[in-house]
Parts: sequence; C-alpha cells; structure tokens
Amino acid sequence: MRTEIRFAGVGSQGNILAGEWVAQAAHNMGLNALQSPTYTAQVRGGPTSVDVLIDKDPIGYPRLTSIDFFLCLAQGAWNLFGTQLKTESVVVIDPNLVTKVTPGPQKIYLIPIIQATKQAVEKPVYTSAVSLGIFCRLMSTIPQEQMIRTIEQHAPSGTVEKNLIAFRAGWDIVSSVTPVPRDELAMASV
Amino acid sequence: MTNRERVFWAGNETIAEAALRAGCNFYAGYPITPSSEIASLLSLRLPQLGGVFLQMEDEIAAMGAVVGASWGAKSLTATSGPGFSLKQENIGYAIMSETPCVIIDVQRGGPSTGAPTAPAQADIMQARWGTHGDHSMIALTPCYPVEVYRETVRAFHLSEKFRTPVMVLIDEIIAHTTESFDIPKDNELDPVHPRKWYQDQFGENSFRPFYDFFQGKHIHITGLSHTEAGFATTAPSTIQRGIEHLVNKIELKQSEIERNDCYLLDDVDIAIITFGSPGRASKAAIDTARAEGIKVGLLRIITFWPFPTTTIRTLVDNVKAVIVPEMNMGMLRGEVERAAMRRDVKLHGVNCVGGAPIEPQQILDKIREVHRGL
Repeated sequence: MRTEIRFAGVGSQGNILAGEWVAQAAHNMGLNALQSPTYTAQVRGGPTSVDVLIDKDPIGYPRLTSIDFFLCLAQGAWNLFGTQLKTESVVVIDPNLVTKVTPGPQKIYLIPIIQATKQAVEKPVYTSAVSLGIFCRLMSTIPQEQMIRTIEQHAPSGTVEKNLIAFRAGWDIVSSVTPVPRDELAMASV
Repeated sequence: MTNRERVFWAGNETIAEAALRAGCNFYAGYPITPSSEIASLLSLRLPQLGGVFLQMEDEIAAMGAVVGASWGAKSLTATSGPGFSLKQENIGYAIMSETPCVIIDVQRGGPSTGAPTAPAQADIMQARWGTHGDHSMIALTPCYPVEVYRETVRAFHLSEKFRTPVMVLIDEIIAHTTESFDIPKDNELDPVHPRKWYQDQFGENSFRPFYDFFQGKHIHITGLSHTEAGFATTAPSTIQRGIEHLVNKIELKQSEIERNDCYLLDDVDIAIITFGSPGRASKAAIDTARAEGIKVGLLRIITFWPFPTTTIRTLVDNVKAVIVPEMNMGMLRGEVERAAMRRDVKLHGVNCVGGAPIEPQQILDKIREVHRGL
C-alpha cells in the first residue's frame, strides 16, 4: 500500500535529512522507496520539504497527492506545504513555530520538537532524529529497530550516539501528547 | 546469480554512475543547480578510476575542455539553463568538428537565472536550435530512473557512433528524486570503443578522419567549413557536402535512434503525448480515466531529437484528440502540430511553468473535459 510522508520546515532544520533516512530505511527493507526534496535557492531559512513515498508495488507519480503523515516545523512551510492532507492524516506541528492553523478535519499532535531536542541533546541540530522518533512511534511504516539501524549506518561519524538519544526522545515524547482537533486550533489562531 | 543490482540513487547520481558504466573518463564542468551533484560525484569517482575531473572557470571553458578532451577521451559535462546558454557556441564547434561528447542539461525554470531549484522543460528547443547554423541533433529525454541510466549510456554510444554531441535532458524532479531501482546489466550497456567504432564506420557517419591526439597521426580540427582532410575550404560544393553530411548522418538514421514509450495506445480516442517527468503523472491520470471508461493512452517520447515526426503523424491520424502535458508554454505541442500536418486536429495543452510538477489531477481534468467535447 502506498504511504505518503512529508517533513517540512525551513532550511537547516534537517527535515530533508529526516525524509532521506525514512526512505533509506524503507529501501533497506526491500520496499520501493522514493524521496524528493523541495527547497529554495536560499542556503538557510527558506521553506523546505521532503516528500517520501513507500510502496510494495512500483511507484507511479513521484509526488504526494494524499498525505498519511505530515510533520511541520515552520509557519511558512505549513502555509506552503500543508496541502494534500486527508481527514485521517497524522499531523504533527511544533506549536512554538506553527501558530496559525486554518480549519480542517484532522487531529494535530502539538509537540515542541525543537525544545525537546535541546533538552535531550542540547543542540537543535539533532531535530531530524527527534522527528524520526515521533514518526516511527505514530506510524507503523518503519519498525523502530530498522530506523535505528539506518541512523547508525548513515549518521555522520561521531554523531550516532546523540542521534540515537534524540531518536528515543522523539519516540518517548509521543506518549505524553494527545492530538487536538484542527478546528479547535484554528479557533485559537484567530 | 542475479543479473541485477538494486540501488537507491537520485537522478543525478544515476547519471554519474551510468556515465562511468559507458566508459566516461573525462568530465569538465562548472557547478550549477540543479545539476551540481553530477559534478560532485564525478569529482570523487573519476580520479579513483584513473579518469580526469576538471572544474573550469566557467561554463564556456568547460564545454571547450570537453570538446578538446574528446579527441582521446569519452567526455561529459552537465549543466542547467544559464550554463546551457553559455555552452551553445562550443556545442556548435563540437557539431562542426564532429566531436563526440555528452551534455547533460538538468532543466530548471527560466529565462535567465529563473527558478534554480524548480523543474521545467523549456530548454528542449534550445537543445535543437541553440547553436547557429544547419545541423541535426540527438537529444534524449528519459523519465524513470532505470531509463535515465540506460539513456545516459546510450547517449555515449550514439555520440561515438554518429560523431556528434548528444544531449540528455532531464529536469529538477528527476535529478533530485532518490528512488529504488535495479541497475540493468545487459550487453547493450557495454562501452563501445570510440576510435575502433569510428574506423569501422568511416565514410558513413564521419566526414573526415578521427584519430586520438598524440597517436602519431597528423590531424587538423577546425570550426570552419572544411574538406575531408580537415582543412578550411570556401569551395561551395565541399561546404554543401559537409553540411548535408552533418544533417543527414542523423536525420536519415532516425529509425536507429528513435525510442518511445507507449502505454495503452491501441484503440484510443484520446492520445496523451509528452516527454520526461510528466510521463508519470500522465500514466496515473490515464489509469483513472480508463477506469471511467475513457479510451485514452500515452506516447512518451524518449528520443526527442530527431523528432519522431512519422510516429506522431500516424498516431494523430488515428485519434480524435491529443493532449500535450509539458512544463513549458507549448514547445512539444508546436512540434506535434507540425508533425500532424493537419489543421483540424484537436490539440490541447496542459502547461505548467510555475515550478510545480504537473499533477495527475490536472491531466485527468483535461482528459474529462476533452472527452466531454468529443
């Protein structure tokens, strides 16, 4: 079954890296995987997103049309890339960074991801690994041990340990969060 | 033993690896988004394999280095819109001097600096007509990863066989999409030795001798109109023969070069004709439309130049309407119109130039609209 995943934010947050590792993990599992980044000509700070498609069958159209999982770390990225959501999409935002939400049928997990990263490993550079922990806990697409193996294989040398701590922080934080109806957030945004 | 190897590569990585598979041992270029990963990867891989990687001072010099190196090496450069513009004069030199080489153009939004990180398909006419003077051109427009691999290898083979620059045009979507696929390992992909091949073909695809530098042969290379010995001439009959040769060696061999992908094209009312990455959106739209009972199929052009005129004329003669999705304002549509040679043909464009890919829904909407009007 086709699974559609999008990580979005601004350049240098590591969103594209998170998508690359999800797709790499799926490829390592023998699935058909595809990842496709979107970014601007700005070196840092421009809106970015990465689309990941995973399927047992060959993948046709290489962009997302009906998103299963969407994680967003910036207001600008939310405005640009928060499209193609369906009622049952699993949506995660950092409430410190995405503050204005339009109405919609989804439920949204409000997780202060940057703050959680700083608490776990002190540096926000490991945000991508926290996002992966959240993704793995909320979706059954990639088993936890497969994601950990992929991080171990692909994290730059000297960063594996901290990436794994960050991954577990993301995994753990999910249990303390209850999703909020998007319409309620939209009311609060006004 | 398996004949396949499964990889997870982006389009640019696929092109770099395919070039090495084809025997490429020289790269000169100047980094430009969205093609830079090709240079980046070859800067690591070529020296490991005994080849040469040169980052030149600009796009013009890079194309010059490629032309020079080709007289002894299998050469490649990669670029995008603005760089492709700068390379045009030296591409003409390669055509005139019958120098085999491969040029990758990863298309981005234009004109000028345009949208460097967004896809487009608006260089396709520049590929054919960008340099001045009469000539023909071979330009390949693959879509899927395995096809990008095959067509890059084939570009080297065709350039050696026809002694001419060959272009591979992809776009930012193909370049930056990383995807699982099996590398084909069949004999079609084996390198051909350029000079041996040329000597076998002499007189047919080459106007004048072609020897590697530094092999003891006297050679003279010029962008001027020249004799069969390679020296400049003003004799009208020789110039005429030379130019006819440059055109005919490709145009008359179209059947050897042409390659298309046909999908559900038997017994259709509506034909979609496209090239490159919109082929994937087209197939998705066709599957939905077929489920609704609409007879629609796809001709996806893989060899864009020389243009598959006869194939398209035959197709258009047997359908009621044609839809042409492309990420430009109608370059392919114009060629289809020319090929069809009919004023009554119903041609509909789906033209996206804003930097977003064409979505299946946009094509599906057009299919339904056209179907209602039949």
